[in-house]
Amino acid sequence: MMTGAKPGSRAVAESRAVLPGALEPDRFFGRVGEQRSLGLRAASLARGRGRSLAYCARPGSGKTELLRQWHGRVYHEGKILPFWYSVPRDIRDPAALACDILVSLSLQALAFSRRDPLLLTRTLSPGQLAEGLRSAWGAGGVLLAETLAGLEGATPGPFALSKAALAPHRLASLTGTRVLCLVDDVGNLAAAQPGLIWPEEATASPIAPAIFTLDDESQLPPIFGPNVAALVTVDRLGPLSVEASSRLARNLAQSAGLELSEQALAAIARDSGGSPFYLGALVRALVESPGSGLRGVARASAAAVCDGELARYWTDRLAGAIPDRRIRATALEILTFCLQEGEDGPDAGRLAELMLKPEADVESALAGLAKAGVVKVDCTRIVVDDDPVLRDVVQALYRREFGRMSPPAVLAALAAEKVRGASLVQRRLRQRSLRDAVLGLLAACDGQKVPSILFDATAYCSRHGGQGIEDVVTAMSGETDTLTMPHVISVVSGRVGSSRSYPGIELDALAWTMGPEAGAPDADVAWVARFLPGGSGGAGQIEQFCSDVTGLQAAGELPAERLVRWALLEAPLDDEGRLAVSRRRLLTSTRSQFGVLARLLGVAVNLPPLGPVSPVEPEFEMEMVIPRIADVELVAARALEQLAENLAIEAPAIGKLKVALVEACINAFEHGGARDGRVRLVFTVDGRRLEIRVENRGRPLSALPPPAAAGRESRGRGWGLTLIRELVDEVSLEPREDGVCLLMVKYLGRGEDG
Amino acid sequence: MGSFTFKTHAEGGRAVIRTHGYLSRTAGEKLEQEIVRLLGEGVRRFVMNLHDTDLINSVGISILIGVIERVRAQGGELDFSELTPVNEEIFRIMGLHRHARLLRTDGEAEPR
Repeated sequence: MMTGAKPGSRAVAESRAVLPGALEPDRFFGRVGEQRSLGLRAASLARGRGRSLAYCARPGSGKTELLRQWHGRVYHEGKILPFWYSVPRDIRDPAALACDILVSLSLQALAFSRRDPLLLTRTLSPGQLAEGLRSAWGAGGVLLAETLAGLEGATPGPFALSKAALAPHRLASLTGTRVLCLVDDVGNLAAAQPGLIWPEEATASPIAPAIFTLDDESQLPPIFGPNVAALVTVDRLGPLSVEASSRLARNLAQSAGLELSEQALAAIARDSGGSPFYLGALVRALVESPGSGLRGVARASAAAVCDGELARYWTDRLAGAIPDRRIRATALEILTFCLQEGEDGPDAGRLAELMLKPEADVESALAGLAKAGVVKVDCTRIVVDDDPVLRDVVQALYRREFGRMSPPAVLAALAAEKVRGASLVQRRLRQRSLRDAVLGLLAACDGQKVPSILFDATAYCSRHGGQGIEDVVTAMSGETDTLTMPHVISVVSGRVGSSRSYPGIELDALAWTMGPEAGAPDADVAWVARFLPGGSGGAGQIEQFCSDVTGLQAAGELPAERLVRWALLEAPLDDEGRLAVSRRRLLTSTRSQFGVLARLLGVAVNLPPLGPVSPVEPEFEMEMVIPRIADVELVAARALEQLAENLAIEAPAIGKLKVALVEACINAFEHGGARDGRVRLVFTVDGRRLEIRVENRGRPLSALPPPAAAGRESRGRGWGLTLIRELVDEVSLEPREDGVCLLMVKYLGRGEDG
Repeated sequence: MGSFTFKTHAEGGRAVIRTHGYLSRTAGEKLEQEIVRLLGEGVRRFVMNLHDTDLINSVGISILIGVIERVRAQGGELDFSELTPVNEEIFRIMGLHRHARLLRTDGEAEPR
């Protein structure tokens, strides 16, 4: 590199470094989309409407290769003067750098005009260069020579530097030839007065724009100033596709005389993670030791990667961001842990606990890693790209710096995560077992007097999953609130709201009007129940029932006093029937209410069949099918809002339900495989539960994904299930034959706290 | 389908954007475009008033996180004001409060 030499007098003889490499314009190297985009940019530049572009990507992503290939293409086409410059690291003297850039431009302009790339390898005196420029480029050549002369001397002033910086633009302006500056590693300018070396006016030139490469987007403002968005289009280079990786691997191997099998190509494409650098290392290792198998090759290539420029880059970067060696060790351990954990990333809040590290150390290490651009803390998750180069480099750095193979903290953290996963499974099993035991107790109570705690069985189990059945029994012993059967039915169904118009509720509310007799915990009350068809002929059925009971009382088969008559109805009564119930003071419940009770009790209730036996119906059910249209989930949310208001659910809880439903709909659309993309929604009010089913036809899921698989799809996706879990009381996935159903449950009658 | 709208009041390098309606992906993208436009005009201080947005989804929030990063990259700041309790909870669950301040009023953002 020429940087650091004395300006003016030294540059020409040292100019070989500007040669951008062998030009092989037909070689496939991936980046087809980018090349197409660059073609369009070149066309704009030809019309005098060029715009600067910055490719941001980590080292090893292939951005230099992209620039190199594009340089070759532009050079061969011969319509635009391509000016290549690779900004060196460790710039000590900005003036020397400006001089170096100008000399490089002058040499490349001369070589381009003569169509003689070998000229770049020759040594020219300043006089020869000036003469050559004048004869090749006329006024433009004179300008370059004069600007170069202006930089002579120990300390060229700002005016001379400004002229040098605008030389590409002025050359293009004077000669009518468009200039395309290809500036590799422009991030290195950050420490060298970038406003002088590559000022805003140079970047904004429509006839001599630049294509820059840099490692990190955060370097843009320091180099281009706050108006960077107006000056430069930023493009991020992602990994190569599997197909492009495979094709590139084949080409690289073939050019080295090695023919790879489809299986080997697929393995290389997969292992490289779309990183051209890593892919190249794999192929080179295969070429050098073809008999060692892919695993051995991967090891060899990893070692090669870690001895190369990239390892030095990461070492410098981490050391710069985290000067303290102890914190750096923690940072490397965190990285190792994150890379082994996979794409979900660990929870930042639990990291210190998991890794048995002081919290302050972990925070410092994370801050340093974020500063170095290695990780992002996406909300609470630590996100590291699963970059194979980074993975190998991290392990090598740890070994090199601290002489150990496996950081013990990482092993501890991985073990802790396994234990946590196992304990979650255990907790679920305990909850299920407790629930079964509670339902067994309910069944044993035989429906007459039951501690009310048992009717909260499901909610109790989910709240107290860590406890055993003994704890439930202990809690029951302190329970004074006991319920009798009619009371229970009213509790179960009445939570829906006595003022609502769902089938059966009015009748149950009528039953309540009978006062203490119905709800009194009195063992002496005798019950007579009969199952009736109900419906429009209900009045006659009620009268017949009462007449039968009176006859039995008269016969002495039933007590004359403290008798409760209870009609179980297949269908709601009409007005006449209700009047009869009120007049005769009967308790009534519908079949569906009774079904709710039966489910709560966990026992089979054998109601006598009337007509065709139908499954127990819920108290209220609403169904809607929504098509895949932008924001259609809003319609579903509004419908849910209306329903929830009718159920007297409090406003904050309604808000949460709406968000949960919206997330469920979005997930269903994303995962749905149905051609029409429709999603079916079923809202069921059943006892004290509001159930919302969101069904799609798509790939079946065997289990819920782990919480907060956050932000890894497109940024921020993956939050849906995490939010749903936070916002509803229960959530589960029910696989279907042709898709999956997400079931969300909200318990009614609970305050916001519980 | 959604009826999302917003109004911008920009003055002296500061802009208050009042949203109305469901903040979804499409709404988030509209807001992103608006903020990019304002950044181009030199605005660096933003307050997004979500008083009239009663429903928001995770995709919309993700876009907002991207917008915050973009504003910060240019030396600016983006705060949110007058969130409904539910929206505030969602923001906290998704950790957005770590990226931006959640204000009670638009004026709370000044002075820094």
